Amino acid sequence: MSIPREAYQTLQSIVGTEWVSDDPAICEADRYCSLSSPSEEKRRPGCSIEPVSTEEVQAIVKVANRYKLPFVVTSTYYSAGTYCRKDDSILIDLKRMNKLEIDEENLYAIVEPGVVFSALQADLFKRGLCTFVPGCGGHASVVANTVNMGDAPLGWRYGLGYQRLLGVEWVLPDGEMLKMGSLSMSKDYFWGEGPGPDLRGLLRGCAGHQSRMGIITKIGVKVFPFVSEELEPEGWAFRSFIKLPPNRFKWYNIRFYSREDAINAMFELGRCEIALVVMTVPPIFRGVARTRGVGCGGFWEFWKDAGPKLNPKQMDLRVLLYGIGSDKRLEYEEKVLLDIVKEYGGSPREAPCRDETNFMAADAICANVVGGRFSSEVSYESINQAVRYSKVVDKITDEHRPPILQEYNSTDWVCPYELGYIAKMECLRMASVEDNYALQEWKNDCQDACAKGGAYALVPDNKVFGPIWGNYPEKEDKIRAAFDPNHVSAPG
Amino acid sequence: MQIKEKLTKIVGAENVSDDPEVLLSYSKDCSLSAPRMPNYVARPKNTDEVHGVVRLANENGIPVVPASSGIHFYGNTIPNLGGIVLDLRRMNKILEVDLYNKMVRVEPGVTWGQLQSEAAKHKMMGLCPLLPHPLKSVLTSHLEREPMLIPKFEYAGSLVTMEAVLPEGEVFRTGSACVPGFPDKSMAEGVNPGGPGYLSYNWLIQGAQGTMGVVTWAKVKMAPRPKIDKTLFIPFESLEDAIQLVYNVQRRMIGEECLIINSVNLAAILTKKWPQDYNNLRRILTPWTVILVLGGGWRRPEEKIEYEEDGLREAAAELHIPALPTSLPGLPGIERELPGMLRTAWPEKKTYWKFADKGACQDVFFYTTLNRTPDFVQVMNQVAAENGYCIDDIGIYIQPMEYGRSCHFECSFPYNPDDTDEVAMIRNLYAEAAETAMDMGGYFSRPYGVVVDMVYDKAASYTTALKKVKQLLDPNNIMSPGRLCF
Repeated sequence: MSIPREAYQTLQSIVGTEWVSDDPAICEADRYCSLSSPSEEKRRPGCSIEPVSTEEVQAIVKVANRYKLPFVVTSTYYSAGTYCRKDDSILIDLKRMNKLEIDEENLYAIVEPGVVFSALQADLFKRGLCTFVPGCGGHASVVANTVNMGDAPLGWRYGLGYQRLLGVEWVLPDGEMLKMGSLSMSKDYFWGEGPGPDLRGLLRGCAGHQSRMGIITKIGVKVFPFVSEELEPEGWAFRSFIKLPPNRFKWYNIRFYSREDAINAMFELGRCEIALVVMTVPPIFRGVARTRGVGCGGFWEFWKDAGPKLNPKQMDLRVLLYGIGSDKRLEYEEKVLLDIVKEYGGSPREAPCRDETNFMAADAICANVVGGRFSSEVSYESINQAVRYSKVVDKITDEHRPPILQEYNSTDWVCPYELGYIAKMECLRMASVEDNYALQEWKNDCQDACAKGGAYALVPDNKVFGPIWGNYPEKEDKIRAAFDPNHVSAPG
Repeated sequence: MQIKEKLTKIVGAENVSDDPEVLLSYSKDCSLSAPRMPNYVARPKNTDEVHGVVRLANENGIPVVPASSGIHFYGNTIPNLGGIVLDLRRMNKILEVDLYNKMVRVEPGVTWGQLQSEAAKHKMMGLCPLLPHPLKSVLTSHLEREPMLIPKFEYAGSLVTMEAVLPEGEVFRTGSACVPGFPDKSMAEGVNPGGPGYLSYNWLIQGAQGTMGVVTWAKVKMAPRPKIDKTLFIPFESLEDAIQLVYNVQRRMIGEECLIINSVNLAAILTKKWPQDYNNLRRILTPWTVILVLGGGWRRPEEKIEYEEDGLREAAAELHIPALPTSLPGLPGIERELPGMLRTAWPEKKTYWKFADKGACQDVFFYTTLNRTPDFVQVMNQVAAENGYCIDDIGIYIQPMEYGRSCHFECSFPYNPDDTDEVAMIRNLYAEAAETAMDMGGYFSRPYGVVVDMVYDKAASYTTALKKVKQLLDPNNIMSPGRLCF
């Protein structure tokens, strides 16, 4: 099986012979264009193509439709789910589409899929603006991440990805163009909704469609005011950071001796509308951070000793205060924070005024550092759901331990956004490589408990949740069939 | 069985009408849209009854037009093709005040006054548009994406989840409200608007003007009500200068309510005795005023106001703005009164501020960026003058959105609805103003009346995609047919 010769020649004529390849060696390498679980079967693409413009993307998608060839899109090879699931797929690699414009006055940027967060951030810093780097890293595509997930701890102040999405240029699965928001009527990207019903609702729900509804070729994305001082990175890989201006920023690590107190403090921080980042810090995250660079063995050696000493009831919060616009604001926020901490019996400790993860790099895939396999149960709902569901997950975990490894204290990360209107919860569990099946069983049990308890999970199993969540898979299928009549956009 | 009998069976005889006099009141509104009579009016009291009516309509191919407020400004509840007007005002319960998540769950008939007085009991406030009419539905304001007065919130998320009866009769809950047992027996609290799955139904239903389903409740955001306030009225001779201050203030994330308003609108809002106060105020107010309310937070409110004032002074000094007045000439005490006014509906006993001058008002509104607003003012004046409208009577309201990233620009043309020549002139002026603004890049996210065709002709790719979605959700086109591009 291979891509028909005529189709391949047409693709060559669209992008030029140097930007398309069906060389088996290249295609074999491109088979692994995703970070998804090794257990998922990835097919070798029939060819790999690198367009440089929206027009070229449109032409490629039309060829895919004409010859009924599946296509899958990638831009940084760092996605969780976009890889070829069918033979003879066209892998459309968008890394050459890397144009970036910034409207400094009106706080938005226009980016193509090849623009990564670190490139955008570097340009924004020069203008006293910022975006924030998601957990998956500064090397992630701004377009892909914003459309698919788009969350990070700075979301406490700046919201989730779906709220940062403005005008969108979208090549639909049949090759037709869809322009949304203000872009639908002009060349401006400054506003995202409508006109009328907001078709960004087709673009992503709780998460994005991962190229199953065509290809986003350009978006307007919100950016935010930041300090005007130049922030130089220091150190090197695994130990790099930027120094934050101490008159404008202050980090606090706060230990609470019960989860309830920590959670109530979080709610109160939201009501008082202070801080730039508020999140829990599972002790195991600290362990990983402390043992960076020593490898998997070094981590477990450390953790076997440190873990049992943890108080299982404690919960640590990490809070970044930001004097947006003035030093006095920082002073005010600090006073309010310390009032709240005192009221809920926490112990505050000021942390170094630097940033390792939120603005520049990222704390991506920390779990990989500890070796073995990990799985996580993720939800985006209220802080209350995070707490309740986390207890359920803890109980299930105990039933699966061993082989699930001992964390000694909750590994559940609660990261609220939008001043507490919504929160992410991520329950991370680890097992040795040989016990991958145990993690799958754990995950299945979690999904069952989620369904029974009326929790809202990020990646629901359609068979379990479809019938109880308003038959949403049927609605998705209808929409996809209408927009992708040849079923070519990332099928499978 | 006749349709009326079937409707009676669903909502009760006292809640169905085909009396021409009753129908007449539903055939028109405060807009310039042509009147059209419905065949029936049904007034359901709950989701089951809404479901029953929508199913009946589907089986018989009868249009259904939902209406939640007691007043309508844009023609979007006029039954273009007849059918059943679903008057949802009986569904007026505040179902839940969720203080942990700072949200409230409301039925369609809940008005702004009703919500804000309930929220105030909990030291909260609903995110409110500018002085809504007392009969205006909270849910409609959110569904229609009306701009809210506080720019510090990310706009796209004020309506969080909802329950809707979809056009084919299915009762569907959006986002995390879809979980079984919601709200009493579920872990989820209905605060995630995305999904379920890979679609966001919330977005598809918002802005749809009743064409994608009937919303029977929605969970919307509130904000903590400041313990104390300080109101500033910063006068400007030129809009350009006012904008620069707003950019500076919003970048520092200072304040709660923030808006730019011209003397015509400000006078209409603050006038107590018509017409003498109104004329006097128009004369003494500067052409533009930036209204900024500094809100003391839940803790250390005085200190919060203090640092915000410092920040404001710094922002003003950069622009050489000499004074930051906390009062307005001739209106003693207004600085204390205004925050409360901005956090509730217009008083029921007073003529609505937009109608007080001439009896009616036609608005042209769209989104743009703040730096482009002076050009729009100039062009609106030009179009008005060409149509023989007195430019001194134009009201302008500019609502900065999301830290000043963009703004809602609203141009109001008060007119006498009883003067047929004036009505004809306004009709022409409205169309020309909208078309001109659109050509200049004004973005009409919420198109109504004659603007609808202009928008969907221009947004061709969007229109095609939208029609596909509508066809899937409403194959019989019974929900508000003839509205938008459907």
